[in-house]
Amino acid sequence: MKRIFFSCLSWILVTVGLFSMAGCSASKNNVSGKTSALFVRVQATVNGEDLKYGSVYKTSSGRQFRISDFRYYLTRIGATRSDGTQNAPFDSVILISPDLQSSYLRVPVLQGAYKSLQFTIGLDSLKNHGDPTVYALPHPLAIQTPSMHWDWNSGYLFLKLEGLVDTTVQANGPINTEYFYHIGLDTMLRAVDIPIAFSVPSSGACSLDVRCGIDSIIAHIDFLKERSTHTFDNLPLAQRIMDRIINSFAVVNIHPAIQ
Amino acid sequence: MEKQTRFVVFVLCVCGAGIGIGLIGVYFYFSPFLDQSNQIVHYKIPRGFPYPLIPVDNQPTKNRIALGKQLFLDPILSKDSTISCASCHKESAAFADGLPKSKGINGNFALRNAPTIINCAYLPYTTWDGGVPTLEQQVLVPIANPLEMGFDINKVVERLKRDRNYVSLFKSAYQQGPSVYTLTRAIACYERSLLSTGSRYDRFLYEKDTTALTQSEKKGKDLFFGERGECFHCHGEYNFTDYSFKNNGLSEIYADSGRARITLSRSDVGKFKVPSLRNIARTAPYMHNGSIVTLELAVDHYARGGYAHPNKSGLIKPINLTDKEKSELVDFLKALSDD
Repeated sequence: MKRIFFSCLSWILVTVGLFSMAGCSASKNNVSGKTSALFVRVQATVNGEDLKYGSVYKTSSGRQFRISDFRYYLTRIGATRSDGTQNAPFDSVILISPDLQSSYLRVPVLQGAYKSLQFTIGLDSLKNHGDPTVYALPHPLAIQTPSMHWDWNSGYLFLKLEGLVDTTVQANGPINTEYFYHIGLDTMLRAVDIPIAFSVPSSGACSLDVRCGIDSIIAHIDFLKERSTHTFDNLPLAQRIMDRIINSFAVVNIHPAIQ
Repeated sequence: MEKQTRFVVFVLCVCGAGIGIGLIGVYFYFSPFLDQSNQIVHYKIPRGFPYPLIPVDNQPTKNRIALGKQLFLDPILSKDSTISCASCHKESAAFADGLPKSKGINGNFALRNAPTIINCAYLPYTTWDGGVPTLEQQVLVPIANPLEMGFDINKVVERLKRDRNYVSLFKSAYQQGPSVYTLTRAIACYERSLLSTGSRYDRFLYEKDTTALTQSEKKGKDLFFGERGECFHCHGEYNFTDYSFKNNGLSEIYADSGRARITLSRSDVGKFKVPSLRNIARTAPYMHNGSIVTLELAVDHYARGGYAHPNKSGLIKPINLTDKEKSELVDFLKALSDD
């Protein structure tokens, strides 16, 4: 009897919760105030193709390379409406990693017409210098392998790109020299703003496919001279990579109602 | 009559059993309150020291300190189970290890000298460059460092979860099983309990025991705290450190950039934390790289004024000290060892 009572109560609470989240309350007549969902998927690409670890790619100058890891923190996803007002950024931390690249991230937004999508790459100072030991896996800020935390320096790596490259002068040798770019520090936080018109309907949702073109980052790296940075030891390279990443994102597809 | 006796015996037995059960119940009801193991304890603070700031979520209890000590001594933390915290912080060496750079797994050597961790409860930051803000977070550093324990802390936690004894100890201490959170807290909790026990200098200072120091040590003390020696500017206060970062002219060129690794500022190149001088006679060799092997050579270094470097502290400059004065200074430093 008790179990039945609690199970009924749970269903009632869940139903009420769902209705309030979906903005279906009868008292809410203001259309602009209704919340809906924006689904965002970020896919890393190289030369227009989805990134596959281990695949051989070529730079614009014909140098071959492989990517073995590419991950970064994506935070504060938000959108600007057609009238210029901004949707409050979704305050969550997402680690875009090989496991997550093909997943859609659900972002609560107000329904209506939008003209741009925003997010940041990296963590704000408060999160960056927080204590990572208070998080348990699978929280993106937990201590994990591959590591995204500089344990000796109280801060996170915002972005990590690693792989192998051919470093022969003629670019005709084996792909066997390591490169790695580990980028952190508060000053490396970057805001991305992608102009794109889309609308989030009152019923259903809107899904955006975002591409992160790694080739546009690599095009500005000289593999013969610049094969590593821990940020601290090669600050200009770290800054250049983060400056380039701003322009490496583009919305390539808008689906009206994928959930 | 026999019947009556039987009845009385029966009643007495029932009453006895009832009282017995009642007493057992009372014991179990009150036992959590009687068990002191999970009650917050107060560290025994050395004379002249303030009470250290302790994180709210890691107040010390007997169970936590005991668990932290067991983990501190256990090589389970390292990848090949050969290195424990105590490998580099030996109690017999005032929680240092007597080596310029400590041995890690696979015959590796750590990047820097292992400092004593006595009185680490007072550190406003940890490591030689101050990059890590708390003792709890510092636990991550040697575990992850490939030159030291070379392991993944999540795998340490997996090992601990497979050990029934540890699972029980963690639950007793933190009311939850092994995790990155509880592991780091337990070790930090134990480390905070490692406090000075008092030196001959403390007896001289606080008990006004004028016989606690020899004449030579007293002269050394005057040099230490005087404007000729000027040692006290950096090595002052209760723990003989002001916790600042200084370039002490150890080298003209620094292979290890020190504090600059954290701040990226050229003006911080070659700066390292000013270490405590308590128990200094037991923690040779000295400096961040263990390059000065005796106290006598350390005093010589400062008397010469160190090497030229643009970031060298203005306090490090040649001092005209006689051999006798140097010896007196060394004698005083030896009097800072815990009894």
